Amino acid sequence: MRKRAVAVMERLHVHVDPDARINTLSVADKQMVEIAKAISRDARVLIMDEPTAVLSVGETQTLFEQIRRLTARGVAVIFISHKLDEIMELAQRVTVLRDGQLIATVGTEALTPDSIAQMMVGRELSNLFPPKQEPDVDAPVVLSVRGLKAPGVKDISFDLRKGEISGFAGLIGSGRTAVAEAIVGLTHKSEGEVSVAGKGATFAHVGQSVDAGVAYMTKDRKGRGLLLNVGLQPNLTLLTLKKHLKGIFLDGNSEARALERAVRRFDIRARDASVRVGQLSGGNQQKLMLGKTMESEPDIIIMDEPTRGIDVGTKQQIYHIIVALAAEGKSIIVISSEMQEVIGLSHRVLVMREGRLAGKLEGAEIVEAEIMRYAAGIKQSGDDERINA
Amino acid sequence: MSVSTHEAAKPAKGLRIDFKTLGPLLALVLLVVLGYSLNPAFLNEGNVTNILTRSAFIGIIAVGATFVITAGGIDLSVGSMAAFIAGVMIIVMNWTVGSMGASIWTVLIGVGCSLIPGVGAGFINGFLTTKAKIEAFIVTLGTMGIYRSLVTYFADGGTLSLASGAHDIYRPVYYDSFLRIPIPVWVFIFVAIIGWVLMNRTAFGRYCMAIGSNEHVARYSAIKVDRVRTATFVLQGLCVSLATIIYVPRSGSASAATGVLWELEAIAAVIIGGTMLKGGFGRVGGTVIGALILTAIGNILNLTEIISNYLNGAVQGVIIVAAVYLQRGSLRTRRKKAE
Repeated sequence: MRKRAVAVMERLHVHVDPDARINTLSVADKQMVEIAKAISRDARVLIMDEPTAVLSVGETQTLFEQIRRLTARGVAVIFISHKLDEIMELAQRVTVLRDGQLIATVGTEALTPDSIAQMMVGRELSNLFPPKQEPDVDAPVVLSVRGLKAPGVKDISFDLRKGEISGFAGLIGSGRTAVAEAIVGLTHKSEGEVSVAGKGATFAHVGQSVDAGVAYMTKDRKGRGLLLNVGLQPNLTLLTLKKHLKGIFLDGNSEARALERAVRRFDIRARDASVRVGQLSGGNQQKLMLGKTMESEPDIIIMDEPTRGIDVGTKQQIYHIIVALAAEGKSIIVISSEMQEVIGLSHRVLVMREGRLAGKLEGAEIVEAEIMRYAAGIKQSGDDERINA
Repeated sequence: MSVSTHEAAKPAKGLRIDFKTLGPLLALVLLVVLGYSLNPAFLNEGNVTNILTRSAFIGIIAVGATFVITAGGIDLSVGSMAAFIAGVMIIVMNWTVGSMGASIWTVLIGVGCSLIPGVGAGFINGFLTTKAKIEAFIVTLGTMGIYRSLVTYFADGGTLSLASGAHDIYRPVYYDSFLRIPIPVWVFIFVAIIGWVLMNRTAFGRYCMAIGSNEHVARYSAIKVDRVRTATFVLQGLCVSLATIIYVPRSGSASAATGVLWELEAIAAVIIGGTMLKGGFGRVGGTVIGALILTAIGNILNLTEIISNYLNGAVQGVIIVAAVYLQRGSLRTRRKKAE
């Protein structure tokens, strides 16, 4: 069995110790093992549901090679993905579903990513990203981080200005999430100075960061963000339950009003409020989580993979919300593995690599190739010109 | 999102309410009908008060257990804890009787002091679970043995008896009635109402539900998970103290045999009431009904000849397994409806 496991993983170019326990692997490695498991069964039809959602670019390419090898051997593959470029690269035919209905099945050669997106949304998708507003270089610094160290984070320093959208790019495991969690007090063993609006802000607990106006929206909406087995209302108000107290008792009416507001503001679609959150689509879950985060009325919002695994229409909505929030004067950090997202939203991009800031890009410098060079370690900002924005 | 799915959703929702809230109540009604048809004496006023009074001990403890279980924990030590608290209370009362004679004050001091071991023991359970990161099952399995052996030690292997002077003053707490309802039942009603409000109308109850449902989500939602968890164990300890306060005047004694298997009856009441053992969903009202069901079963077996009273435990066991099976069943129907 061990031999077979090694053989299959060799074929996939997966370098994982076959005796390792699954929970010690990175998310990407887990995914590759899952794929190896499916392939090892000599399937004739292979259905892959968002196989690349957590894979890096390199790992995705390895997977694609494998899929091509399989199809060459006569295996049929159904590849479910939100990433349109992957579909264009891989598929011969594309089937678009929307709200549980078949929209069309078309040969790939007759399609462009835009035309697929249009079918998915059912309307013209003119601009995925709203136009960028000029960053205000004189705006006050609202978040300042100096020499932050935490598990997975080695000496990070950066500033965030009022109304700024700052993108955090990097490969999976480069420490972006660890930085966010260290700032908001989810990590206990962290060192360094963090100040919010000029005041020292070392948070020992998420509640303190919320009180100080700093909110973190996790990338793991099912495991960390939302309670899947309850309805919308308790999820929305969980972070800010104190706002809905009348004396010592919960005020259900006040909670219901909050839900009504959030449903309207973030366009959350559920057949009724009692439906369990686990039954909502990924996009609606994400919008609910955004609503939950915004309930705390933060000035600084750290969004970790704000559009992971959601459809392109909802993505567009979320991008518009992010830009509108920044225009209102909120400061936003967007951590994302989707290059287009980082490029399309950010005034400034910080690239992380192995727990450090590898590079900082602004304005016209923000292009994919440059980000990749820093992320992959081909290019580095020298130690003498330390990143001190 | 279409109109048809909207309408199809309604019956599924109705079904869920049926199973979760009305299920245990329905079972209790059936049991009452069964009891009455087997022996009309079942519904005599005397017998009904008897059932209510007897269910008060387990019921009060089970209300506390509802919080522990909802927050994803379990407390196996409640039976031993009750014996331990009873022992401490009797020792304190006898000591005060010895130094200042038997009066209402000796009883009040004893009752007051009995809250300390309850809250303390609960805190120890909570502290070891949250700070030392030992599973609640293991922690309370350990403290279960500790509390019970402490009682045996205090009683020197025998029985601790309350000085008769104090017992005479204390007796009415178990045997007297107010508005024809026995005092223990009043305490039970009081605890149940407070528990219901705490679970359904306060942030604490919501936090318990969130923690039991997904501890990570709770932590990321700024909930002080360790603090809330510990509080559930302290609350459990407080409930055990209250139960013991109304239990001791019944016999005026405590021994190693006091409160044996109470933990299982309390957990059973919670589960029969519809609270999920894996946490995240708690029903105080269901727990009260669960406690009544358990007591009613024993009572019916006592009143009739069909099944031997010695099989009480077996019948209760069947009811517990059936209750959990029905909960699963309702879950499955719901999933089917959802698809």
